[in-house]
Amino acid sequence: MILLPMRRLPLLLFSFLVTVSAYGQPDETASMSGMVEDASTGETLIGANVLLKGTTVGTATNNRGYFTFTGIAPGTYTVTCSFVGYKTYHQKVTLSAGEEYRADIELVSDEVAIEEVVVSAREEKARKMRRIGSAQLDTEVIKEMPAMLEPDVFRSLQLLPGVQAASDYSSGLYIRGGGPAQTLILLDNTTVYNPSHFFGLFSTFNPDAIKDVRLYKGTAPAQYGGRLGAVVDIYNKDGNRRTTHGGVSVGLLASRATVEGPHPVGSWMLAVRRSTLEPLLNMLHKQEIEGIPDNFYFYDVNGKLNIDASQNNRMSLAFYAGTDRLAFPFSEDASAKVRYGNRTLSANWMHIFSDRLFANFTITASRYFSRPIFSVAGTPFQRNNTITDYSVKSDFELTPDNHHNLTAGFWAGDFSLRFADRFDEKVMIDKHLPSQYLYWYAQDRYEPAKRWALQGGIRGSYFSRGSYLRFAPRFSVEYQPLKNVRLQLGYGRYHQFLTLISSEMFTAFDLWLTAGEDVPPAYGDQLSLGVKTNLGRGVHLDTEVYARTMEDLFELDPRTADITGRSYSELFHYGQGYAYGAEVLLEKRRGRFNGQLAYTFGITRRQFPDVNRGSYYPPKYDRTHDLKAVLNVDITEHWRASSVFSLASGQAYTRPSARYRLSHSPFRSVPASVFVTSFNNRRLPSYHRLDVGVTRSGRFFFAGYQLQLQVLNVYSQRNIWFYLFQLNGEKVEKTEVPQIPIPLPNVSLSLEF
Amino acid sequence: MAEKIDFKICLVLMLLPLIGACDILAPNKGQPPPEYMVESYQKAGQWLQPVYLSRTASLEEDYSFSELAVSGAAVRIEKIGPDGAVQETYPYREKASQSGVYLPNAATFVQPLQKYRLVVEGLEAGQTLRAETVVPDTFQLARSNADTLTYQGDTQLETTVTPSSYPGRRAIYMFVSEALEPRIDQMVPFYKGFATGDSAAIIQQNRKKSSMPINAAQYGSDDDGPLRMKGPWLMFSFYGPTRVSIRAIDDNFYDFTRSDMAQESGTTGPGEIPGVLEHVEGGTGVFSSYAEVSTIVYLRAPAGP
Repeated sequence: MILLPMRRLPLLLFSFLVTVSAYGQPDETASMSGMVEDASTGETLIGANVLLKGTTVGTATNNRGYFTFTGIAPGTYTVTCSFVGYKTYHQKVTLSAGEEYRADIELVSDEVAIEEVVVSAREEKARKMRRIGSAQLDTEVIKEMPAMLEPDVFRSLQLLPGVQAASDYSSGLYIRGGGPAQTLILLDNTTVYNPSHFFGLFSTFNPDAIKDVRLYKGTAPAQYGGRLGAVVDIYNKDGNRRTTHGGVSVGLLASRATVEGPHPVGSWMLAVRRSTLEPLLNMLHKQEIEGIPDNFYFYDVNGKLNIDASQNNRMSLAFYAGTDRLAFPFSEDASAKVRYGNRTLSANWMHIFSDRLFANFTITASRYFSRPIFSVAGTPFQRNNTITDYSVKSDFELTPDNHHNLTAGFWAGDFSLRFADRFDEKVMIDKHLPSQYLYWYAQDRYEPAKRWALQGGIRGSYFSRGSYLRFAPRFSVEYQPLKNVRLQLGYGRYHQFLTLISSEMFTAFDLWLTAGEDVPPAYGDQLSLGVKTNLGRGVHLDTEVYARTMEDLFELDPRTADITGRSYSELFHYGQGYAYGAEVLLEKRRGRFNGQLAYTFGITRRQFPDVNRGSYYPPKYDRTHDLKAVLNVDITEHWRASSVFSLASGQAYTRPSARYRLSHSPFRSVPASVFVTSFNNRRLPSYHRLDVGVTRSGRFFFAGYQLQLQVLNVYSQRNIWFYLFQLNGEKVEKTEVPQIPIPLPNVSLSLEF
Repeated sequence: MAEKIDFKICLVLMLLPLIGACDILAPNKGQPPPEYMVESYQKAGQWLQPVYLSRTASLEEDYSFSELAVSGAAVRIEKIGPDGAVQETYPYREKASQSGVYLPNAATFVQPLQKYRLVVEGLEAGQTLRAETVVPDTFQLARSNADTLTYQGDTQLETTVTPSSYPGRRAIYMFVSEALEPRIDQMVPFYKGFATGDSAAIIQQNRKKSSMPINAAQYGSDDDGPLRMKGPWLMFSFYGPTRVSIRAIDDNFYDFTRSDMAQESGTTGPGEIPGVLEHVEGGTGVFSSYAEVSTIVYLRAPAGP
């Protein structure tokens, strides 16, 4: 029964290719296709807008920087191409019947901005990219924002509506009521399982190496799946195809170096980042300060090699390697050694079959490992959580005419997970959980009329552990009642075969587990409704409302003490949840004063039978209101100031309602104090914080430089992270554990040569 | 003009969701009234043990059993047959010198694999507390590999026991160590590192240590064969003579311990405190049972450098 649709898969693909061939026949119309690149670096531009002026024909470049129009009536047109930060490109072309016109476009960076041109480019980008539930992040913005020690992709994403931070110390993404477990993180089409450094303080992605960050907060299209919530799709730079180019950046926590350049048939890029805390640790050790790690460092390396074999064939090989290590003697006769990290490798081949059919083939390998070792009073405890994920994927994009854009593809992989605990040299659990998976999808974007766009698709998933076969419909519709107003509706079903046990306090112990026999995959439905407006003068106002369900959630039961010998399904507790909310984004891109105001109203709840007697409760990261304001001021040509203000409802926490004492237990020599409480029954005080920064940029001899001075929490707001209830004698003491309690300065210097 | 009006309507529509966006916070509930709390641990093969009855305390008040003790209740333990019927009743009486402490009227042995029900009546507003326990089967200590051990030396304590049993699941055990002659200068380094305050309090705090619950599968046996159990060094807090007990625990104590560990260790998120799993109808606390074997070992300090 399960295999039947699998057997049909080749048939479906065959039908698709037959359709492709049919559409590949010459006709009385013309077509135009090409790549859009940065003129100075040759970097392909994702999401650039290309249109034929005076017509309704327009599109945005895909993930490889490719665009195509078909079914164009012969004639003379002006091709316009725009992208943020680039001069708009205009070119007259004459197309004859049956012609397949190749138009590779190079956009010139507009460093000395003619404001109107740049603004129009930004507006164009916004118009095309703001599909429902999605957002795109400029990498330059990531570097400009006030940052905690290091510029960070995820912390920049946290400034968007619908995306929330768990705390000042966590870069984890909490999107539309889902935790980090529900967000798929892709780097160059490869899954990254633990995207954190410094135990969660910031993400692994080096902003110097990144070209594009795209976020789907919800109702992601059919090519994405595997998680109940959001998708973060990140692409590394290809490398400069014109000249060799480099940069170094020195910060308080870490230093970065990047070098990129051309080779005879393409380009390459290498970016390295490493923490530079050793001098500080040595100094603290010399002063005999207690509680200082013996050793702590992290590093990451990103590399990419591109081979532009021909106009229609491009290959690339990309890798990422990142590790965090800590050796910490936390008490007399007690120590912790922690090592965790990720490795990814992807080989990609982009092939343009014809002006109507574009294809991308990728082979990926991803590895996550977390191997903490504790030794307490001569008793060792070791954990090993490893994921090895090899996959092949392919995406086809067919544009038969200007009304349809068909996409289809598959992703097949061999997934292997190991979860092993040893206590006192004895194996408590050692689960090896291999699985094979196959995802496939087909989708059509249909634009029947000027103001309408409909997108429908289906995604199938097969997960061999437990033999789960699931189908998920996806649908969205967009209507433009007015020139500057767009109404959007999106729906999708999502499945998740993995679960993540993570703590916002310490991501080094992130533990992934899979669905399996008697552990069905989680699933949920998402519905979004959006209104996007362009108020003119570079101001946009977008609103989205969303509602989500989460069913069959499976999480490692935190109360399971003796895991040995238990069946796999006994390790979990099972529950459900829901989330709904509204998001408003007011964005001003024009002028010396620009920025954004993001507001989120959100509710999320969970229900597990063994928590609060089965009542719904808010997870800690549930925030009812969340307001974030970003303001940038271009003071002069060389000086730029940025500020970020956050204001949010307090998160949920548990305040015990009572306590009792077990004074006569034969198992202990002192009474045990027990809290009587329902889970997460109170709210912390509201949260607010202001961060500011100034950037001075210019040239210093042969190099361009950027000096950044930033202060986080300018006015010393003592936001509460959580309350700790501890017994002191006969009394219970409530201790406030603060978020960043004082102004935290940060200085960095970047050089580009 | 029409387009402008339409545009305003769109704007209003966009902002509509925010009208309902009032802050949905958990209401600041007042302090709930105190609950009745029972505490009692029955040991297989031993006399019926006392029942302690008190009320829970608010977070703000100091905890004092004598002030919170519940006096004048009617307490009894019932022996329940396989058909659920009460086979025997063992009434308790309140200890004259200590309110809230109830003792059995007659000495009765607690039988292994037997279900007992605690019933407390005569409380305010006609409330009744009920809790049941099934007593784990008794088991035997077959051998212990050493009577003297060097702390963190090559040889760890290894005991061999006949297996206990429990209806419907594997037997679950806990190690409990109790220093018999604890002295502050004989503390092992790990616990000494955390020791603050006066010596008597430190000794009292560390004299007895218990392990987490461990089920029989940890010792590689699913059948009825003997179990070889290795005692971790972590359970020893003092050099010198130590009683090491191995206790098979009932469901109530297992649920209480594993959930209390989660509450204490903060295995959930920061600021999130999971409630403990209890099986007391009409109140809170622990009514549990266990079976025990024990041995005594002498723990030597390792030779100095």
